[in-house]
Amino acid sequence: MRTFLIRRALLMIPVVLGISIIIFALIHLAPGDPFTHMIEADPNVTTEDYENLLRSVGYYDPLPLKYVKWVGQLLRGNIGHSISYREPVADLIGRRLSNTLLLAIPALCLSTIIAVPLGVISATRQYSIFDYIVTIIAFIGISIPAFFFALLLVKYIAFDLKLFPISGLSTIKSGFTGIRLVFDKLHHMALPITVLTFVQVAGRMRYTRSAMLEVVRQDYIRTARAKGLSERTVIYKHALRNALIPIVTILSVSLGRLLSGAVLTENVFNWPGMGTMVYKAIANRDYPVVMAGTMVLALTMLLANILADILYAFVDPRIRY
Amino acid sequence: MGVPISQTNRRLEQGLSPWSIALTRLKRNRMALIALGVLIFLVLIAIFAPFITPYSRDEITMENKFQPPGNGHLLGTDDLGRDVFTRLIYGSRASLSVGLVATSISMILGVTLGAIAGYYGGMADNIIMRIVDIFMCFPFFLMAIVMAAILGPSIYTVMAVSGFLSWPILARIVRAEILSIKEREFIEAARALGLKSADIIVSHILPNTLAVIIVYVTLGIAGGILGEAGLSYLGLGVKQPQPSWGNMLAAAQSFRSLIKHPWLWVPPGILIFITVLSINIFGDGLRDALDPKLKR
Amino acid sequence: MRKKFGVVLVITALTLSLLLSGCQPAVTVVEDEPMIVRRAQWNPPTGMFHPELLSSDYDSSVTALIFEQLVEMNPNLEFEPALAESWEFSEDNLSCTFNLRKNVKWHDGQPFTAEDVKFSLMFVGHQDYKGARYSNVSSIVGMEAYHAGESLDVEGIEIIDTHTIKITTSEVFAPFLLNIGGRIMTAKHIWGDVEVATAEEQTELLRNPVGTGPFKFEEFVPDQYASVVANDKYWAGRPKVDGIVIQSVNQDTAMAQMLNDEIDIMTVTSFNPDDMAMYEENDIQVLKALLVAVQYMGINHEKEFLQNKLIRQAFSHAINRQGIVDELLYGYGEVADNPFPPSIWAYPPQDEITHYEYNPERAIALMQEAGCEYTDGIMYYAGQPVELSLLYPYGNKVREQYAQVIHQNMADIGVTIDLQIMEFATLSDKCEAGEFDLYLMGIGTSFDADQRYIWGKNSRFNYGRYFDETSIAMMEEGVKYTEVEKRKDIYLEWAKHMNEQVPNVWIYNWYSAVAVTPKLQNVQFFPGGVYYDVINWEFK
Repeated sequence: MRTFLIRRALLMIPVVLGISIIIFALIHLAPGDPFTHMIEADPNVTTEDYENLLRSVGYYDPLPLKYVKWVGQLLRGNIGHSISYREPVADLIGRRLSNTLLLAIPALCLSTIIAVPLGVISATRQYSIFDYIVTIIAFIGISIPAFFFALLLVKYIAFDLKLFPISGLSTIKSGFTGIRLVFDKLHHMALPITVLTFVQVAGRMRYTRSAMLEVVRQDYIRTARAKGLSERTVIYKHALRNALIPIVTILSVSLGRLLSGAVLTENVFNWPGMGTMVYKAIANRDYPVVMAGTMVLALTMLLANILADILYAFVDPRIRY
Repeated sequence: MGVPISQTNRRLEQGLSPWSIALTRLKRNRMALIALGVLIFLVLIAIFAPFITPYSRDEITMENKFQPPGNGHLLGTDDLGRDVFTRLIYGSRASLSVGLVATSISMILGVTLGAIAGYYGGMADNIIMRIVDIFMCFPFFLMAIVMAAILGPSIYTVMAVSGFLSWPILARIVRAEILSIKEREFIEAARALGLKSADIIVSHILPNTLAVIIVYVTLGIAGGILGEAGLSYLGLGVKQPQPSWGNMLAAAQSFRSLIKHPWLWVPPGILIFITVLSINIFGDGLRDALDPKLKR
Repeated sequence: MRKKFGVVLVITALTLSLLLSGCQPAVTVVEDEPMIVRRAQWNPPTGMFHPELLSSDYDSSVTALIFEQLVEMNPNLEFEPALAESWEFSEDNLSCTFNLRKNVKWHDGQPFTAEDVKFSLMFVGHQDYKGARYSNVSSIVGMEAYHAGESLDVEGIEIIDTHTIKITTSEVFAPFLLNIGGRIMTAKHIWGDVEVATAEEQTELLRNPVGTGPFKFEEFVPDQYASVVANDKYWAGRPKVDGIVIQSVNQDTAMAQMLNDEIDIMTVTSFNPDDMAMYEENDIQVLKALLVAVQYMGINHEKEFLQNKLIRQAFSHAINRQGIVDELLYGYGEVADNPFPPSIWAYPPQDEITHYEYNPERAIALMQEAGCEYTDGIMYYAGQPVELSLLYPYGNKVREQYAQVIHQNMADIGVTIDLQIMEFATLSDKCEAGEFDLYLMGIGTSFDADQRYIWGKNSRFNYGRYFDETSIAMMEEGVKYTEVEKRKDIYLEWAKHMNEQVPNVWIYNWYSAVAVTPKLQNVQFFPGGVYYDVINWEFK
């Protein structure tokens, strides 16, 4: 196990380097500079003022030098200072990441809680009415663009029925404390979590179903049945446990995906998370934020993949690294 | 999905080639067949677009904007007085071709690199798999935004972005398949006969991974269409005046249109939904039909 | 498992009911609930609450409530006393003496004096100042030397006594009151000890701004909002509302929030009659103002074909600008044919300039006169069909629409337009590099008539590289006087010259509007913003 971990950790180095170089090159290759947006229409800014601004953030350095500077800073533990937010990128990311996790983790749990039982039932009752209905609902979930679903929710649930607030993290200046504050937060989280959950349930349910179907066909299940064990024991004790292996592994990968994939949902609900942060930073050419943000997302993804492998070993006693 | 196959059918399947078995199975899957029918219908509409509608695609008449359905405009007119039905039909061209081209790019890259990594192993495998790792870690939408900024938004950018960012998964699948196939006896035999590696890969190994690839490609097209819609929401999809379902659906982001002009976003929304749904159902049917382990 | 599934259902139901329980009206009725105005904007404030360092409107919407200028512009675009009670120009118009109000206190209780004025002006002129407003003060005597680090003081700024200050420029400077009198005052006792080079890193100070204005800073929650509370000791009296929150909302759903009474004041993005009807049904006030700004189609004057003014005039005739104003702006705009917007004094009398009305035949005739050939619906120049690229940025819905109209209008005179939409950052980069034939942009023009920042030799905005000696000489002449009457004639001649040259095709001047909740009274909106006389905002 330890050698496996060390090996994976070592393999991460070239991958991380590769990711950072590619992202760095891409964002700096994109035409534009960090100040066009800010002083777009200010008639009093002269060319000279403007160039001074650009010089102050090292805009005129050649690309490799910029990269070396960035890595150098990083090694000294400084992930940079945002050009448009004028604050340390670390503070910014800390805030945004927790906002995103606030949506991602409940959505991940909810969708799993809903998807796995549905998948198991529809597998055990393959070709039943239940199976068909669940399958159709699942396909609807993966066939509707997330932003569109979100907009529909805003219109029908938030605007027409006024059940939930239209956007934001919490009621501003509400003066709520304690339990009311928690409720207010949950109230605001409900719609975005619904969107993220719905689009995930489908995939995970299909996955569970096919994993179950696969396991049920195995010889040891037949043996278990032949031993005269009850169908329930066979399914839930023997089959489910084995089907869980691939399900668990895909879960951690989903978390990595969720962090960056929520950009459209965050956008509709004006939720200040990681996705919208990087999205706006790209438009503003806020290089330090783009770099740090995408690197954090990429690293989460990488770690999620590794976690998946470790979990795999944990759930499946046959696997030893 | 699918209909249970009776005992006699199972016996019948033995002795048939895997392809005809698959075909037989697919024919019995009513849902998949309906889905296929819908898809063929949509493709035909896309091809014959100019013959279906009397209006030209980009004809602007500002005075006629936001006309509700009726009055010679089957689905009303948009914010510049263009016929929505016409644009919807032409939009199917953009949306379907984005899906197809993006998937072809990812297929070519994914199959080639996956096959090389799987068959040769060693150094090549190591390098390719590290590249795969790198690409797998890219946050899709954010990278798409950066690339759209560099290349400028157009239908080709959307195709390229979706294609280049989605090949690694396929490469992984193909590699895994090949790893398991290459140790089998018939490959050993081919090698013993002195066939060249490339020949072995192309004529003996790839055909055996075809099932996986076909399923993946089907689903990839759906992903491409949805990706285009998402990019359009951010304004980075197919550029005006060319219509696509995605950029038409993006009209729903204006609150006014969401409430007052449903004819602008309901039709493209439904079409995206039906298309992606059909592709998913058909893809699922294909998976069931092609799965050699599936004995019923 | 069935039991377990039941448990799951119960948990889900519980969670949902928990969520739904938050739905009861969130307001607990309290006596004397504070009157807070909720203003919406498309992005949250960034926390750069220093009026001379900030670079985003999303921050100035906060600082404009906290800080003040010496003189302020009113909705008639005239200057009014603010921190300066009165001011007086010298005979030669080179210097101006400001008499400051005596009873003004900073929010921390310190008195506001001439020292603060001098400090504020010198801050912008400092060598290490990283903001972008130095050029406003560069004409003050001695400022250039100070900016270059060659001197420690600026002779042109003389403190006469605690409440009197005299500022002298090296040449007559027409926009004196706008650029120098309009500087925003910051406190010397707070910023005086900070090294200017590190000013932008003073997060503590930047996020706890201390000004003299009608509102005191209260709270800043990054990514969400900033709030201010009424200043009880404001020199002109305490504001009638208790506070203002400036919060971020999604532009697409903002209208829904306005209708749902989740926000009180926001910018209106379209004059669509359906929108207007929805506002009206809910008694929401919509305040409109013609902006001091113009939408235009820029032209690359380095391309030989476009150097001929007949071609540019033809474009003005070819584009259905009246149609764009009538249909896309629903009439809330004016077709523009000269560089000045209607709301400023330099706007020429309409019978003095040529109006390029929509007339495709005239456009074709002008193109032929310029040496083009028009056959079979295609325009040829030097044997080649005319094809031009048109770059335009995202973000302005109407502009994205009229780009399509231009595409069609130009096709009608046989010219093929290659529409290229792109991010603003990309667009300005391509414009600076000259990689375009035509581009669309909007620009906020100055309240003053001086437009050298657009049409001057080294202007940042002269993307089209239009170098016109006649025009430059006229503009230089125009800033030599401070009296509007003397300047009027010069700028009329200049407007006529530009009207004939069509250095870019002006499309329109447009109205902007804000929607205000029915409860909130006395909001005034003009091109300078919504905060004029904010102390009289009041809830019904």
